[in-house]
Formats: sequence, C-alpha cells, structure tokens
Amino acid sequence: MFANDIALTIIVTTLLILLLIAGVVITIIMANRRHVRQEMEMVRMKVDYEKELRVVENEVQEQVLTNVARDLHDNIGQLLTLIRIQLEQEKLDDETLAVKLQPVDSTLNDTIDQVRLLSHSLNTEYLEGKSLMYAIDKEVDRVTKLNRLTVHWKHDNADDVLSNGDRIMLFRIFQEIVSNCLKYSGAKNLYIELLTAEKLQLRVADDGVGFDLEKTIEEGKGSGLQNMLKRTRLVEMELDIRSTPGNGTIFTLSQQ
Amino acid sequence: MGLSHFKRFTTPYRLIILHVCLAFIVECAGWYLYNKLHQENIWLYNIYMLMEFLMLSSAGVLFTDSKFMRRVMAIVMPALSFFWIYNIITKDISKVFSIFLILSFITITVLYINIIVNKALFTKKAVFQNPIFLISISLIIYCAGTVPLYGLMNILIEGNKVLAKQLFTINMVAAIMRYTLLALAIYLYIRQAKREIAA
Repeated sequence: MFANDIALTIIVTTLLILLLIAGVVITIIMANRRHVRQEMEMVRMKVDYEKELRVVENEVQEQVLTNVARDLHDNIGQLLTLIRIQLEQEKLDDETLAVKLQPVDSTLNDTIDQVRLLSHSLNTEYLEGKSLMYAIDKEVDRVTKLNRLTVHWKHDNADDVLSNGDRIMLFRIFQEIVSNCLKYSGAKNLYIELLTAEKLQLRVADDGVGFDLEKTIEEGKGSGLQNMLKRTRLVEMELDIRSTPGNGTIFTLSQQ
Repeated sequence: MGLSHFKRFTTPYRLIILHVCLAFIVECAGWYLYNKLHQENIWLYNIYMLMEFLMLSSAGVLFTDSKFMRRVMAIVMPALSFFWIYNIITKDISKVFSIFLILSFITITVLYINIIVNKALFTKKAVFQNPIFLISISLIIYCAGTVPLYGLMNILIEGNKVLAKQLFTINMVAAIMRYTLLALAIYLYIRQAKREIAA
C-alpha cells in the first residue's frame, strides 16, 4: 500500500511538473511569436519610413530641377534669343557682317537649342504624361547634338505601363548613367536599348574605359552609383552593372 | 550526425554532442551489465551522473549571457561535485544518489530556463527553429520531469521493486523526448550553418 502511494505521488508530481513545463513552453512560444511579429513590424515601418523619405527627397530634387529648367528656359533662353535678335539687327545694318558673324550665329543657334533641350529634359512637368521612350528619344537628341560620341538608340516602339513617378525616376537614372558616361568613360559609342513590350528592360552600354565596380563601392566613391541604386530600389526594379577597366560598362535596368 | 560535423559546432554544442555519446556508451554498458552479466549497474549511473551534470552545466554556462547565472554556477558546480565525492565516500554506490541527482537536475533546469528566457525568447528567429531552445526544452523536460521519480526511487525500490521497474517507464519516455529533441537541435544547427556558408 505504501509503495502504491509513493508510485501515485511520483506519477501525479511528474504530470504536474510536465503540465507546468507545457504551460511555460506555450507562454514562451506565444511571447516569442509576439516578439517576432513586433520585430517584423518594426522592420517594415523602417523600410516604409526610408521609402517615404526617399520619395520626399526625390520630390524636392525634382522641384529643384524644374526650377532650374524654368530659369534656363525663361532667363538664359530669353537672353540668348535677345542676343540673336541684336545680331540680326546688326546684320541688317551692315550686310558685310552677315558673313563674318556666320560662325557666331551658328554657335548661338546650337547654344539656344542645347539650352532648350536641357531645360526640357530637366523639367518634370514637361516629361509628365510622355512615354519613357519619348523622354529617352529627346535625351538622345540632346546628347547627339553635343557631338561627343555616337549614340546607337534602339527600342521596340511599345508604350510602357509605368506610373508617372516611376517613369520620371527611371528617366533620371538613365540621365545619371548617360551623364557619368559623358563625364568619365571617354567612350566613342553609346548603345541604348529599351524594351517595353513585355517586361521593361533598359540597357545602356558604352565602349569607354570602364571601372572597377567593387573597388568603387568599397572605397565609398561613386555617389552617383549609390544614388542610382537607391532610386532603382524605390521603383522596385533591378539594376545590374557590369564593368571592368578597359572594357566599357553595361547598365541593365529591368523589372523584378 | 553531430560527430560527422563536429568541427562546425561551437564549444557548448560540442559538449552536448559528447554528452550524448557518453550517454550512449553508458547505456550500452549498463544494459550489458544488467542483461548479460546479470550484475547491478546503478554504480555505473552514479558515476555517469556527475559527468553528465558537469558537461550539461558547462554547456549551459557557455550558452548563457547572464553574468549572475555564471557566478551562481561557479559556486554550484564545485559544491555539487564535492557533494558527489562525499556520496561516493559515505554512501552505498549500488543505490541511486537521489539527493545529488535531484539537486543536479534542479540546477540544470534552472540554468536552461534562464537560457531559454535570455536566448530563445527575445530573438528574431521562431523558437522551433532555434537549436538552443530545443536543447533547453529537452533538458528541462527530462530533468524536471524525472525529479519525482529519482527522488523517491530508493524508497520505492525498497517497497516494491516490480512497481519501481514499471514506473521507470517515465524515465524511458522522458529520455526518448530528450534525445529526439537534441537530435533535432543538432540537425537544425548543421542546416543553418550550411545555409550561412552558402549565403
């Protein structure tokens, strides 16, 4: 009888202890789940906040660019037009000046043209409602007129389905790539290809000096590159950069 | 599995794996003594329980981040070791050292509850994907769950040996849970280590 009591005590106590452990485990699991959920929520909020911040940053940048574009068009453009009118007046007064001022006239016309194209390419309002292909086409015109390199421009002539904001963002990334190419690559040829029919893909390649991508990022250089990558994340696209010194650079922007 | 990837493990995991190997050897030896040589094997388990306690508590000390717990263990581990020596000298080695066993199991339970709270509760990982959680739970279930059995085992053996043998099933069930969870923890650790290397 005594042994039976002991056995019963052992069984009951063991069961109670196991119940207690089960209770503790369930509490821990629930607390952990709540903690994991909170952590995930925090991460999501942080990502959202950074995205929001980036959007605001871009809006400010776009506003600045629009203001610069307006100033270029309204002030400098007007002044250049005024110079042309004055020159025309001079030519009317003295016909011999027409030949002498021919090169000046030509340069002035080019300058007015460049200022107009630049002000258009910087002006967000001008780009709104236009397709990416149209915007790139205008930029290609502008770059071609600079006579610094040969632009090979290819597209599938299809309309993109991007939102206005995403389109402007993509166009700014494209401008950054082209601007970097003009400034640093020393390329003779620039190859641009835009495919929009199925999955959007923009490929910009040059035959310039190229660069060491890893080294540039490791050394914290290339703020333009960082900016491009940030903007790419913002439009939820992928930017693939392939470059080796001496072998040119290929940028491929594609939808995820 | 643990031995084949032994180099991948950190020290506390290695101690856990070694303890499992030692338990396997002792179980085999205990079975051979009892079933083949028809001799008492409790003395073997009495020796093993000190090694088990030292290995599990050392692993726990290495797992825990709590300085307080480390200080407590620095006192408890030698104290219990001396108590075990005292038992060897003064008591019959053919009887389970119940008090030492209870004290060592309570110590391990408290230590691993502390580890669970500190290491598994406030991590970004889900608890069942955390090897430390599984190791802790396996040891808590076994140590806390068998305390009443070992605490009263000597009295029960004296009263009714057959009933004592039947009740030993509690130990068997707890041991199966313990080693299954330990195997799962080791498997998870290896899988996560491989993923980290691949990443």
